[in-house]
Amino acid sequence: MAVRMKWRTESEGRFYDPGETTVIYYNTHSGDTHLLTAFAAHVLREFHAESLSLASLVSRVTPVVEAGQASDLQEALEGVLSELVAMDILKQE
Amino acid sequence: MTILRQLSQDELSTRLSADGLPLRIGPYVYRIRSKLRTIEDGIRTLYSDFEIANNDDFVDYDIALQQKGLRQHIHHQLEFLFDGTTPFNLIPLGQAYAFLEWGMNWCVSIHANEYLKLHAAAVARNDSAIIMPGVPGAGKSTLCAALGLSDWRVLSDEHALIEPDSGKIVPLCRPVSLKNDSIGVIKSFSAKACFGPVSEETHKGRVAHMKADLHSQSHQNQPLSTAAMVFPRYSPDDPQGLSKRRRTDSFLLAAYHSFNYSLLGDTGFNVMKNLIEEVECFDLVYRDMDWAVDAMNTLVEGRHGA
Repeated sequence: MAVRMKWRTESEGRFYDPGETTVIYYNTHSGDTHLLTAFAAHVLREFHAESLSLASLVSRVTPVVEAGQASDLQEALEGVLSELVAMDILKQE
Repeated sequence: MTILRQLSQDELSTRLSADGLPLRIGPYVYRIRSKLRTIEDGIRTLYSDFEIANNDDFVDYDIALQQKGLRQHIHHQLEFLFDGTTPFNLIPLGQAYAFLEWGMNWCVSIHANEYLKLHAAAVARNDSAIIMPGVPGAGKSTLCAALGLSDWRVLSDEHALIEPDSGKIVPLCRPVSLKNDSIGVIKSFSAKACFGPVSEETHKGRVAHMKADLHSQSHQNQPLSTAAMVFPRYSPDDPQGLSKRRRTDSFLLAAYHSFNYSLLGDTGFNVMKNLIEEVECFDLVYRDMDWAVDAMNTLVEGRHGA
C-alpha cells in the first residue's frame, strides 16, 4: 500500500460491544449492520473524526498489541483496511 | 364488551357477510368480511374468546375474502382484499382459511412500523417474555404451540413487536400456524389442542391453525419485559441442548429475521441493542417436545445451569 494513502470512515457509525470476540457495527451511512472481529472494531474506532495513514494507524495500534505480534501488525492492518473498504465502512482518500 | 362466543351462529354469519366483524387483536382492530363457511368456522373456533370492537372504533386492517364473479366460482378460487385492493393472486378455495391468517400476518408485516418487528414467536411465563426467532421450518411454531398448551402464554406466533421507547414486547396473540407433521405432533402432545380448518396443498403443505389464547392473561395488552432470546431448532439427529450463544451473533440473526430493522435505521439499531443487552441468548436444539418445554421452563424458573 502506498505510504501517502489515507482512509476515513463514511459515517460516525454505532458500535455494540458486549465484550465478546466480535462486535456489531452499524454504518449510519449505508444502513448496513456488520459483525466485526474485536480487532477490526478496535481499528475502526481509531478513525473517529479523522483520516489516518497506515503508518499512523500502526503507531496507534502498536501499544495494544502483544509484543510477539507487533511484527505482523502492518500486514494484519492492511488486511483489515481492505475488508473495511470492501464493506463500504472505510473510504480511501 | 362483547366476546365473539356471545354471538349466535346467525349473528356471526350476518356480521361477517355484511359490514364485517371488527375483532380486537393485540393493539389492533381487524375488520373481517367473508361469506365463506370455512372462514366463519375458523373464526368461531379460533377467535371465540376475542373481543369484538365497537362499530365506531378505528379499524387498523380492513380485510375480506370473497368469491367474485362466475369465473372464480367455476375455478374454485377467491380473492383476498385489503382496504378494497387485491394485493395477492387468486387463492384456491381449499386454502381460504390459511390465507386469511397469512393475510392477517401480512397486514402487520408491511405496516406497523411503530414497533421493531422481529419474525419470531414470543411466549411468556410469570410475566417474563421469551422471544424465539427462527427461519421457517426451524420448529419455532411447534414449540410455541407446545408451550401454549403447557401453561405458557402465547404472545405471538409470528411477530415480536418491540416498543422503541420501553424495549418491551407488545402481545399480539393469534392462532399458531402449524404445518404438515407438526399438526400431528401437537395433537399427540396435548388433547387440549384445538384446531381450525385444515388447508391442504398450500405452498407450505398441509396447514392448520391452533387456538392460542389458552392462558388466563392471553387477552391482556400490557407490554412485557423480555428475559431471553432463544433460537430453537428441531433436529431428529443432533443432541438436544440449551446452550448460551453470543449476543453479537444473536443481534445479527435477530436483525436478519426482522421485518423492519433496516427501515427503522438508527432507531432499529438502538432498539435491538437495548433488547439484546437486557436478555440472555440461547440456542435450543430439540427433538422431544416434553424435553423442550422443560428446557424453556428452566429459563424462567432460574434452573438453567443449576
